[in-house]
Order: sequence, then C-alpha cells, then structure tokens
Amino acid sequence: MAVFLIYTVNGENSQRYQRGDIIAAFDDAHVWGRRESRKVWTDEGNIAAYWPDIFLILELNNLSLAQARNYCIRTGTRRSDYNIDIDDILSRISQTKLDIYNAERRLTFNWNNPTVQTYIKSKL
Amino acid sequence: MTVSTIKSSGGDYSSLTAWEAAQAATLTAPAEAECYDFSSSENLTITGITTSATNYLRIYGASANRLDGRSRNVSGTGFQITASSGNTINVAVNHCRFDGIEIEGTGTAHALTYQFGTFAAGANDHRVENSIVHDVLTGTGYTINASTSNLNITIRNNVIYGFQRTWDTRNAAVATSENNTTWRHADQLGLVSDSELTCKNTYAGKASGSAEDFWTGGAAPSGNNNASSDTSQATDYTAGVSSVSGSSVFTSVTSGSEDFRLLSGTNALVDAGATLTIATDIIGTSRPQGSAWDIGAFERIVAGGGSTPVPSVAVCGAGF
Repeated sequence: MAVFLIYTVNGENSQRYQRGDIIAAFDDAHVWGRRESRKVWTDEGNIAAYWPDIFLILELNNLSLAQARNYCIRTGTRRSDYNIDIDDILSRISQTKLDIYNAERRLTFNWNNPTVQTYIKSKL
Repeated sequence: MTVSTIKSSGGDYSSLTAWEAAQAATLTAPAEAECYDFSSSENLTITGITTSATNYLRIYGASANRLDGRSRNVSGTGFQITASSGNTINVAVNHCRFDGIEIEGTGTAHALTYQFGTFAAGANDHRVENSIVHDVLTGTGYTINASTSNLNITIRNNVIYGFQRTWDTRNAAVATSENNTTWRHADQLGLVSDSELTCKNTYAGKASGSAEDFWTGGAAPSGNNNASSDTSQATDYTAGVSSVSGSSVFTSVTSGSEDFRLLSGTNALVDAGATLTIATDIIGTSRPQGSAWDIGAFERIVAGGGSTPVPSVAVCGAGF
C-alpha cells in the first residue's frame, strides 16, 4: 500500500500548493507527524478543532510506492503535476468512509478499482 | 518565531516537504524546521513564500542530533535529506538558511540549487552553514548550484564533496566562502567563480586529474588563506597553501567512507587559516585551537593532539 499526503486548501499564490495537490508519497509503514495527520494529533490528546487542517492522507491498497512516486514527479516550475478532486471524491464515498474522513482526514481505497484510478488527475 | 520538529516519528512533520507546504505565503516571523535523527528521502522545493531579513526560513539539525562532520551514511547519525533523482533541494525564496544538516543527491541533478530568475537585487540572504552537501554522481548537476542572478549567499563551515563540480557561484551578486572543506572524487572543476566570490580558509581538492580546484572564468575572485590539491589557489588568492593532497590531511577521502576530520601530526591545513569572525567549526569546536585558525570545516583539537572531535556544542539554536 502507498499513502499520499494531499493538500486540502488553496494556496495564496500560484507557487503554493492548491487544494487536492499531491505533496508526497510514502509506504504504508510511514509514521505521520501530528500536523500531517489529524489522527496522530488527536491520539496525542490534542483537540481536533485546533488541528491545522490543511492535509488529508490518501491510502491506496495495491499501489506500490514506486508507482506512487511517479505522481510526485514535477516538471518545470509547476508545484505539483497531479491532484485529486477532493469534493468529487467525498460526494461518492460511503457514510462509513465519510465518517473516517471527518474524524481523521483519511481516505482509503483499492487501487485495483478502475474508478479509483481516475481519482488522480494530471495537470499536464 | 515558529519552530516545527521534523522527525521520523513523534514530530510535527515527517518530511520537510510537508513543513514547507504548511508555511504561510507571507512570513510574519522566522519559520524554523528543527530536524532530528533520520534520513528523509524527498525532493524539497521552497517557493512562493515571501520572506525578509527578519522573517526567514531556517532548516537546522537539532542540537541533540548534530552531525559529527561525516555523512549519515558513514556515521549513522544526524538528519539527512536525500534524493536519487531531481534536485534534492531547490530554493526559490529570498531568505533561507541551512544549518547542521546533510543534503545528499545521488543522481544527476543538483544536490542544492538556487532557482534561476528568482532573486531580487539586494533583497536576499542565503546561508549554508555547518552542513554536509554531497555526491551528485554523474551528469551536469553540481553539488551546489548558486550561479543565479542577484543571489547573495554565504557558505561557511561545510563539508562539500562529490563527483561533479563542487559549486558554481558565477552570476551571483555576492558569494562568501569561509572554512569549507571541498572534495571531488572525479576529475571535475571544483569551486567555480568570478569576482562575486570572496573565499577564505577554504580547501578544495580532488582525487586525481587536471581539472582545477579553484577555477575562474572571468574577473578574479578575492580572498586568502585557501588551500588546494593543485596550485590553483595561488592564481587568485594570497597566503594560501598549494599541493595539499587529501590523503595527507584528512582521515579518509575514500568514496563511501569520507571523513574530513583533520589527521594528527604534521598537517598543512592546521594553523594555516586567517582569523575570521565565526567562533566554532562544523561540529562546534571553538576556533582557534592552536596558534591560528585551521583551513577547512574542522578545527583540530590541540589538547588531544588527534582528530577526534569534541562533543557537539549547541550551535544550532544560536541563530546567525
């Protein structure tokens, strides 16, 4: 499984990340920081409402880290070549997944699902 | 000042990329990333952030996890950012400082680069201090690419080595090199500059070949008390030392086990430097230890008479 860190707000200028941009990819053993993961933040006893809320974690089963890192390659001066439509995805998912998202800012899908593969869009 | 921790677990962020992404587009206070003991594989781009002389970005090694002057690949300690493709770090903001970290590029691009066309005349201040920047195996990448218009950069107390050009500061407005140890494993030019460079107490050497350690393409740089493995230090600088082989002064110049701490005994770099203003060497040893400053990133300790460094001193939190 590979995991993506996704930006969830629009940066203040074109050189900053925009909502849905893929920031980084890691393997499933990756340990997140408290300001990257709302779950880590709350597990440490911090109040959820005070979490910075600028990231979500996208977990993709059956996607290798090598495959995932291809979505982190940038060309030219573009900040990110790939992004996801967060609002579109949230409109399609089950209530169970939505509850997890609301609590942890985390989404989990199976990459083998062709629909899931369309979630990642190229800006090129 | 906002200080965030970068750790493999238990930190604010697990990568510098996430830390950079979280910064406001306009800083209203210094933003600092305190990096702990791990290797982070990532390509870091720093861009789109308005900084100033007082509201700058700073990435530094935590005092408890200081580098010991060697790569994490050799010593097993310290914070390392590494990338096997693409530039490891690309800087495109006006005020950014690196202190006490390791920047490794194992591909063909630059380990550390300053983005062309980014910097405003007279309004930027970049510092690379107490750090290790290294490798770049093949291709056209430099260990440090600072050949960028209007750039003001200070490179101080670093160990910089690899297989390609050590650095290029041509086109920069002002470049200052103080007490750096630089080395090429391959026959490539070392410190490439024009008149923008003031270079003092800096060693440039290579394993073999004829490419110059200090190379000037146009108007001459200025400086003094530098050393080279060839005679190129004498071309533009005064009071230096020529023909200093790496094996005669450093613990190891072998690729993969580099250790640029100074050998005991007669050593051409010891007490051969000029008196400058920085108080410590790359690992926190006070300068000078002997009758004068040593050339390069390390100050050899007199009391023990050997090359073993003293325990690190909390330099990182001291600011600049």
